[in-house]
Amino acid sequence: MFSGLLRNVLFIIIGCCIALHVFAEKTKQQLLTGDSPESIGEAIAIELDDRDLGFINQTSKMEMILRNAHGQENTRVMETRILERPERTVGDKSLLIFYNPRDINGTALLSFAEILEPDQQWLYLPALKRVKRISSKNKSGPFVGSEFAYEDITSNEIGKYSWRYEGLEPCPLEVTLECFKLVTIPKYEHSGYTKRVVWVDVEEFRAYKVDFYDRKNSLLKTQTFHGYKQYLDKFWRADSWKMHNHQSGKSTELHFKQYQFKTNLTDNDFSKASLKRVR
Amino acid sequence: MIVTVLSNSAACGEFAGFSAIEYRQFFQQEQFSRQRSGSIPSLITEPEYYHQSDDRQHSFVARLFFHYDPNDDERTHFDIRQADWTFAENDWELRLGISKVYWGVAESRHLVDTINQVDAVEDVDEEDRLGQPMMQFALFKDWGTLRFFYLPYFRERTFPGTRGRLRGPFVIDDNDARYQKSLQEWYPNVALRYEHAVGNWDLGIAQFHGTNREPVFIIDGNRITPLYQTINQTSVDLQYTDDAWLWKLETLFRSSRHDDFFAVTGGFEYSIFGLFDTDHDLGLLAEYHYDGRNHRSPLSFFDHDVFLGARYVFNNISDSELLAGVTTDLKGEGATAVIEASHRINDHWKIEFDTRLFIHIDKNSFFSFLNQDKFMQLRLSYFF
Repeated sequence: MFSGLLRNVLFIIIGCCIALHVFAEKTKQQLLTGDSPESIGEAIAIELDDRDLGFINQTSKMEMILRNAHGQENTRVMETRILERPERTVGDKSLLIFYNPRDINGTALLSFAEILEPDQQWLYLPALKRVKRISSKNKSGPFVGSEFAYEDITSNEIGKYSWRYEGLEPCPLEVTLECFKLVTIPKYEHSGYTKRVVWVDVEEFRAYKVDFYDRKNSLLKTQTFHGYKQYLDKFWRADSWKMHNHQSGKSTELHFKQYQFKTNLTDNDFSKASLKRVR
Repeated sequence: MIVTVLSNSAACGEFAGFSAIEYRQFFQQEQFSRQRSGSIPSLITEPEYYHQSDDRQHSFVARLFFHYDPNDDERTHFDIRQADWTFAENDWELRLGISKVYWGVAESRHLVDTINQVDAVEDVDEEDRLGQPMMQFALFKDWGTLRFFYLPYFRERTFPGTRGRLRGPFVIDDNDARYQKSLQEWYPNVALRYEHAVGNWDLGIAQFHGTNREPVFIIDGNRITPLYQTINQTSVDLQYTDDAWLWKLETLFRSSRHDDFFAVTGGFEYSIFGLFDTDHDLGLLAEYHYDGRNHRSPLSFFDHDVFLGARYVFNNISDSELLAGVTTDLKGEGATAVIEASHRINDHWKIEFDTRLFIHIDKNSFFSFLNQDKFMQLRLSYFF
């Protein structure tokens, strides 16, 4: 019933991470000393990644509100779990468990994100107790009928893009803050975008806005991030993400609750075998 | 005090499940005396209770099933689909109780899916299964997962009753099932399964010893009695995932006192994502079936067949999906066709439409009665 839909998973992670020891944080001045827009962009991406290193694992409850051009709403409820894989050569592991709508209650999607290789994904169908390996080619398709594409949710590993620094601007939504403006171009196959333009603040490296350009290079969607909070004195997470599609007029909001980090989840909670007891 | 206890436990546990009304319409009249038309609504409910301890080590699931079909006393039935307790450590797990297990990768035949008996009165696709009492021990290691099953009690297959459709001229008498082993349904069955996912490969290898889930039919005058043989079975299921291609293989070797044979199901599913610049996906499916059993084994529909199908996924808010396929016997002994459509109405309601067609099934075949039992059905479900 469902396999066509859920090709990719969640999740967040604006960072994946470099090494096991703690790096000294770099300042704006240090980062801007690079000799080309590309090398500056790359340095900013690595810094953004480093600053999110060490959360080990993360869980949260997520409510997704889908809104069509007439304002009609649909809601989905899910739980997200992420396992950090600190090496920069691989992405994180993530697990997404659905609660609403009720007909897909208990359905789960397990993803092992890679960098330029295709991700590995398994879907668990609770009615049949069947675990199904699915194709992860469907990067640009809608994620569970929403305005988020699969790649918006899973493909946030920095190595999946080339980065270019385009200058400093006041942050969108938070004009008192200063932001790096970055152009990122996907390096993986099957992306629906020619580029993304990202605004990241120079102090804490939080993303405030992303513009997505489609294959014809026209503005397709805008994503904004709202209500940032800092957890464990280190990790910044937004309370909500909003995605607006300029071409269809539809939008999707994600609201995150109950963020938890460094729980007792291990690699064995993110395996194909563990899907059968995920709930 | 009692109120407090109850409200506490309700806060930790979770109720789920569905109730549905299903209407079947057969295309043709019933063909045997005492049979009824079957074109009538029936009611289904499958409530579930789920509880997991805070440390996630213990979980308990109870899932009950009841189908009321005013047409057929045998299709009206109750089953405990699941009632099991799982204890999970980091690299092992123990499961006790009535449970459900799925093995395999293919779509049009579930060849290696052995543990749970088919609830055959529900549908002809063999996807509805009866709860199986078991003890399951699993070990999770770097080199794969090893699962050991001890199955102390055997479940007989369900069959339509005198008034039910989808049966032959004689009713199968399931009050008098026979067994090869004198312990009958208490003959203990065991299975061992190894599973591993490496790169693009997903592999499962299983060994089963016990009572065959498929019966042989003993015809004595106008009585048909099921006989359950004892088998040893080795099976392999394998999937190779390459971009938009899923290559699938299921194969088994089964031996009993009367027959040793191979069977294979193999094929692919190829998906075209974002068809014609829309959000829609089209999946193309092809599977080949070979089954080498002789006439002393239980009858199989899939001796030499090809399945061709297409899945159309709308990727919309309603998860609308359409699947159509035809299984054709390569020796010209007929074909079966299936159409399945589903659409979510809102957070709780879902509607499904299914059609099962049986086309020119060979008159000499045991399954020839199906020619007059083509049907379509509409199911409206409320998920709570």
